[in-house]
Amino acid sequence: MKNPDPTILAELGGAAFRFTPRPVALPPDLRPLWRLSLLVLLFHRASRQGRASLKKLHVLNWALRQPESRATLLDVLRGRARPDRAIVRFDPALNRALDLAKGEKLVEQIAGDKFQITAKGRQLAEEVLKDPECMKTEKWFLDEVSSEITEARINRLLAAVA
Amino acid sequence: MRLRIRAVQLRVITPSVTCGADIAFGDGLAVLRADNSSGKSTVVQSIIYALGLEGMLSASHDVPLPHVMTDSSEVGAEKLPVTESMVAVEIENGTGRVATVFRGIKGRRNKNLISVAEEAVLTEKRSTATRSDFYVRQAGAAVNERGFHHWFAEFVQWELPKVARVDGTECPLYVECLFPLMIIEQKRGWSAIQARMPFHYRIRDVQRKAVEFLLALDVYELALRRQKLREEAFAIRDEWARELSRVADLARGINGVVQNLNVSTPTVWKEGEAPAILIARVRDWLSFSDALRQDLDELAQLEQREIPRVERVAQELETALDTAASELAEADLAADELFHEVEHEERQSGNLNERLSALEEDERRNRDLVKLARLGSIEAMAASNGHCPTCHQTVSDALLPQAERQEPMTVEQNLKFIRSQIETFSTIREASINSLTAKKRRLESLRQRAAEIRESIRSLRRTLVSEGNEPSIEAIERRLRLRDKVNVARRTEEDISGRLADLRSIAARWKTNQAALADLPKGDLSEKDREKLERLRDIFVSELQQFGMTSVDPTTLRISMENYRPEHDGFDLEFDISASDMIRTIWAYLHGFLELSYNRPTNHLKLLILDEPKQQETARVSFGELFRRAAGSPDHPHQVIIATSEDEATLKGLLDGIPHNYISFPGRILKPLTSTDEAAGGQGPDTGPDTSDENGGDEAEIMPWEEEARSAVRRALESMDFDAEARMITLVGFNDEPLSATSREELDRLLISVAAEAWVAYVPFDSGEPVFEADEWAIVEDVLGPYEDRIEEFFAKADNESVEDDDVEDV
Repeated sequence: MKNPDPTILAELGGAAFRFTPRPVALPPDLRPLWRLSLLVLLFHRASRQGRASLKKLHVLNWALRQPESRATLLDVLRGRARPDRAIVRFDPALNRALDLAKGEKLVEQIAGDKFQITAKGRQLAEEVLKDPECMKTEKWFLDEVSSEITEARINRLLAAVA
Repeated sequence: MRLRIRAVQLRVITPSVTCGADIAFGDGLAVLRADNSSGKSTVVQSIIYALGLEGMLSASHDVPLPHVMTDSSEVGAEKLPVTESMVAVEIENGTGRVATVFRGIKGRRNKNLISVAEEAVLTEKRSTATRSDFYVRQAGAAVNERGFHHWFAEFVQWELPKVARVDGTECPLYVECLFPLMIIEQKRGWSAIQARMPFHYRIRDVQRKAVEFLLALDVYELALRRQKLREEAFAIRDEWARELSRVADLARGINGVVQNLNVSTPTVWKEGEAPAILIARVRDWLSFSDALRQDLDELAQLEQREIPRVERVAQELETALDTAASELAEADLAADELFHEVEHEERQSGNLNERLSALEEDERRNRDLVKLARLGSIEAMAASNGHCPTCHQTVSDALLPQAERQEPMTVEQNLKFIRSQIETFSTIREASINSLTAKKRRLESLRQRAAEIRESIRSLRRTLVSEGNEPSIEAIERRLRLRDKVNVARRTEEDISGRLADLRSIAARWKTNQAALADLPKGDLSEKDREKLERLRDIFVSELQQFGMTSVDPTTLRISMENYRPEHDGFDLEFDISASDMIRTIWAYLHGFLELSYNRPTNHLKLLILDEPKQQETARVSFGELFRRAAGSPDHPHQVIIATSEDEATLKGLLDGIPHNYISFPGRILKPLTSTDEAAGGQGPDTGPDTSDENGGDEAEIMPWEEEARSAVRRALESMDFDAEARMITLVGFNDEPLSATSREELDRLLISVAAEAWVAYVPFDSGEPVFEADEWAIVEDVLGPYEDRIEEFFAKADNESVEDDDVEDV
């Protein structure tokens, strides 16, 4: 140590600084790929004739986020609702995903807030379904709720909490 | 390891005529030529059926044979219903062991039974072997002792591995999954490589598994070994955990915890780092030996003193009472503090659990993402390449806007990141759990100590109020308590050190197990596997060059190290080539397997059966080259059976100079069989030794044709109608035709002819002659027994009557 009283900068001796940007971690459900795959599964497994309203998409999308939200929707559907749990919240990522899906021609908007899956979308859904391990929990959940979560039911549920 | 088809026999019985075919196959290349729709596919399908392999074609339990075998047969211009049909195939394994298998197609025989005679029944005219029945197409056919494929696997010396099914259960790799690589039937076998795999068994990756087994890749062994080691690891860990909790229970009995023991992973401790028992005392943790010494010292002190009289220690007792009271207060306070600490730690640990389960869900989703990215539909999307599908500008790989100019990690980076977090948090959780148990233990110990103090206070008080000349109760109780404590501690320590020795040996086993796991090659393929696949690739390429592939340059082709299928530029070859090159590819691929087995150890049966390999108008010269290649060299025993409808002249030209055996059928393969002179057969038992004689009276196994002959005679006898008026017996013949007899001699002749017909219908033929001579008379006599008296009586009566009639006329 030649410098008896070094400030940090002095010790660095005017060396050039360089900042390297590091990529940041991202929750997997914010990846377009994930949401697009989930979206086509939603249409394919839990909707009639491959059609679904924006409301329904939002409810299922919210429920699919995590174990607690999944349990909440199942409870609500089975009449064990807990008043302190929200069954739906607005998720901007879903709207982005829908835009992307439209752009990729996986779904099409058929009227106002109604969407329908396309043949291309179905093909993707079939591919996702082929590997039983892939998106296992999500598939399980959709199968679990598919028969109960009709559009009419969604409307009643939302009317009840509104 | 080998399977050779030595001969095939087909029999179709119609009411008026019996048709059949008897075909012998040689070694090496065998060319079976017959016109289109003349039944050459029937031969290939019959081999599949006789070996109980129809499951390789479809899940259906219908007989996979054309209607000439099952429904109606055209004989000349006539269409005749099939009343009964069967197939027999003579096979040989690599050690020269021969067996003949029989299976009924239509008729009374159970179609799920295959009879096996361990002898060359069709070609060597033997009929003495014991026949045993095995079942097919039913649960257990592959594993059960009486299952045909269990027998078959043993016959060809296959040790079939267990494989995983889609639903997570296990099953043997069924024989039906392997034959699509050795038998190609015409209908759908030529549409792709491994076009007809039995997916209905729901075996995971069945195509890959089949190739791995057939090429005897180590990957199989490796997967098996890895599986076993993992199961063992699981068991060891379990044992470790159980033993650990026993040790913890023991330690708790003396207010202790065992230190330096890894909770989750069995670990061998180094010298000097042996697990130690720590005993919780009010203020501190003491090592077991220190705690014991403390107690022993106290006990020794107490025991040195005489038990005092109350009056002499009253003052002392008062002080002791004070000390005890303040010690109790201290202990209670410490316990209270510790209680809060434990609560805090528990909350922490709960948070950690939540955090970990969220991370685990994230990890799972990221893993799914990696898989999703590989899907064909996804790869084609603009969004997956970082472009907006509508405006084609670059977009970031995130649905919500990120803080300024922050690039998200790639999925793979993210996955790594999450995994490292999971690892960190798991470690933290483990530490937290350890500290939690220790704190709980100390809390318990404090409470126990508090209880002790309270008891000692009670006995002090009782002592203080007792008579002055009585011995101090407190002093006595204290001694007893202490002595007891010391004894328990010693016993427990002994117990624990015994268990620690067990733990040590568990940990040692764990270490060996983990080392073995680590020693397994990283990828799934061993060096030898890679070499084998490279060699397969070389053969494959050289065959394609020989067959004249044009769509792509054969030298640019590889065999995938992942799914073992041919690929071009990293893509499945099937998409890049013309239809006729597809056919060449299938030839080269399947024959490549066979050639690879010449000088590499494989499980290939060195058998290849191709039904109509000249598909898609593959050029003639290619076809010729296929013959040349398939003929192989005599140094490597093998059998390639090629069935084709190519016209005779062309075929002769193509086969010129190629060693082969040629089997040609002008017209239909199934032909009416000439029943050689029934009369000659009926003349008596001078046609060679009887079956039963050869066996020296032992229970001789009756061969199917003999059995058929007997039952035909029996049927005829049962159908007898005694018409007294016409003095005639009417009965039904072998093909249900009406017969009648007016004398005993006539009836005998009829029965003999029934026996002869049935015999001829089932016995194997060799160049137009039945291989086994019938002893019809012996058969008839054998069956006739119970009917004999009735017949004698009938004709005797009829004769009498006719005599009477004559008399009347005479008068």
